[in-house]
Amino acid sequence: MKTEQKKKWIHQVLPLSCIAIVILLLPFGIQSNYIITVAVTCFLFSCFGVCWNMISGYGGQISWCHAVFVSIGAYTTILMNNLAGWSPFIAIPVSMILSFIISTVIGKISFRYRGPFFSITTIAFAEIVRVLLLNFRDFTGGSAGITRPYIGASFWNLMFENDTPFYYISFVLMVGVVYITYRFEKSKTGYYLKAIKGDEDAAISLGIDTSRIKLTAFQLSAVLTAVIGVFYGAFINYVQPNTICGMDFSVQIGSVVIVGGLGTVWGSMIGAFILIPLIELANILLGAQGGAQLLYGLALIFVVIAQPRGVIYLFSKENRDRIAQKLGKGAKKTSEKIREKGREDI
Amino acid sequence: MWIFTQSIINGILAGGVYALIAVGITVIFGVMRLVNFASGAFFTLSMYLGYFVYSFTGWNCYQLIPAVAILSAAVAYVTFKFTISPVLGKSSDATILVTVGLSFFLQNLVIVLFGGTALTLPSEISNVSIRIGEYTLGLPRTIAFMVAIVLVLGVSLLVNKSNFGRSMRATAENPEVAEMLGIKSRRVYTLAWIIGIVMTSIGGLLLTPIYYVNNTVGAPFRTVSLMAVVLGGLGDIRGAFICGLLLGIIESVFSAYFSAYIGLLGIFIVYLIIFLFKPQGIFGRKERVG
Repeated sequence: MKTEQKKKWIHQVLPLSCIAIVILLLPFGIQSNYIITVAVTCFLFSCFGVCWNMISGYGGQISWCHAVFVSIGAYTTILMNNLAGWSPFIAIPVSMILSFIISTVIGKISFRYRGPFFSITTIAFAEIVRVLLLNFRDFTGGSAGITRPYIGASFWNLMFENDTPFYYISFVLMVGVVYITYRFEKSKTGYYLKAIKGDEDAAISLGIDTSRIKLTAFQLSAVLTAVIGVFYGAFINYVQPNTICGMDFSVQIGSVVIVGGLGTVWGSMIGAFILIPLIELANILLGAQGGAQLLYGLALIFVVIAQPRGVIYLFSKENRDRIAQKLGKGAKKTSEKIREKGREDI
Repeated sequence: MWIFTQSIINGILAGGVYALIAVGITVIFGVMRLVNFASGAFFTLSMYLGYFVYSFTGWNCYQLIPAVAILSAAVAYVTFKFTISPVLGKSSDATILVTVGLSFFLQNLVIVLFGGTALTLPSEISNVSIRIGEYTLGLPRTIAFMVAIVLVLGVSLLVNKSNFGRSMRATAENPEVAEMLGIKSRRVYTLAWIIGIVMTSIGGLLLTPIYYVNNTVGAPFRTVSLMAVVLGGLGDIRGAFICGLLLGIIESVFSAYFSAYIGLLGIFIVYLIIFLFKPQGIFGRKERVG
């Protein structure tokens, strides 16, 4: 028992805390605000990815309306600030309630039946919200979008002189979301959800109320996404329907998770740190507006076809064993195993 | 009353293209159980392809039909080979993700190739309309509607009466048995995909006289036709066609009485209500879809 604890300490806790310390110290070494901005984007997309993964990865119900939950958070933040001067922290509960209601309606209707209905309904819903945001000009600013003017740095308003405070805030958010998802994965609902993804008929026969479980996961995912959306809105200070509420934003969230590894906490977390810097690099190199966006589509298609388990698979034990076997160490291992088995048999 | 009748006429005409795309999606779904989320991107792409050929030849939108049909069939073949074929038979998540990825890729590809500014394909008839009594029918929409009807009839004849249609239905029913009977299922899948895409593409091309060519023009068309496909009962050509027209009418009526953008909201509300009570589609059999 003691050695096992020690092993866990060495293999999990130590590297994680080292990474955390490096991340916390990083802003002191970097003078460029641009790099910090990219890092914050990575953290926030990582959060979105982890939330998206909750329903789409564990549950196998691909959602394309997470952009709507993000924009609920972002629009609530900016509108509350502009109309009433309220803090983003007041926007958090409001956007949670809004996204809870919306996810309940969509989930209740489309989870009753299996098949692609959920994906189709979410696509349709996202498109409708985008069109409405574009056209209620008086309220949302239409296609010009709305900005949150600078009213002096304060934590209460989530407004700072540079992005370094956001760096820490978004890091904390990421840790929080990952922790919640981790707990969710290990909870009863999480196991049920995975069972449903594996074999829905079998899950039903075991007495699992499948639509109820999917609905719970979707609600949790939506509410968390909206909370992150509040911080995202406060971070970018500018919302525009086509960029934040279109299907494109949902596809970006999805691509991040697919590249990292669908259906795992760590996979959905690391995807953003691979894809977002790549996109930024492509933005700088290609310059064109479509060129970098192409990468999302390409990455999505390529990973789904080539290795649906994503980048995280490269680090998995399974893959290490496979590589070891390829390098010839496998033969020795197998013979050892046979010998051991022989001993046991005797 | 005039507004009502006129908006129904407009709705039917606009619904023709929805129906065309919806039938295109249905043909693909019927054979390989794959929802083509990329239909909107192919719709957009066809407009750009039309513009591309136009810039060399100066043909009008209707002369362009064969050229665009051939080009989009080629694009469809290539995309099937490299993106759809590898995920066939895998989980439905994989097919959803790949078609959405494809859609995103194509949408941004046209920006890289043609630039981000909206283009126009000039046409002499874009403002011409026919008058019947006190009602007016926009000529481009009327032609699009008629072409759509002809194409849908042609495809349903092909599926129901021809040898190829029989092999398609056999493959849809049971791929292994179909293989045993000598049907090459891979070829049937490829052809079904190409037929579906070409139908969508022609739908896009026919609307070039009245729409600007830009990279997001296909999004509402994809959305509405996906809803039509669901309401028609997934995989039912007749249902998809009728629901395409129906959603066109609903959009037009809502737009006439409220405001242009409320049309889409109206469609979505009707979709949710119908889906709530008849999830197997308006014409669906009484069985659980799944």
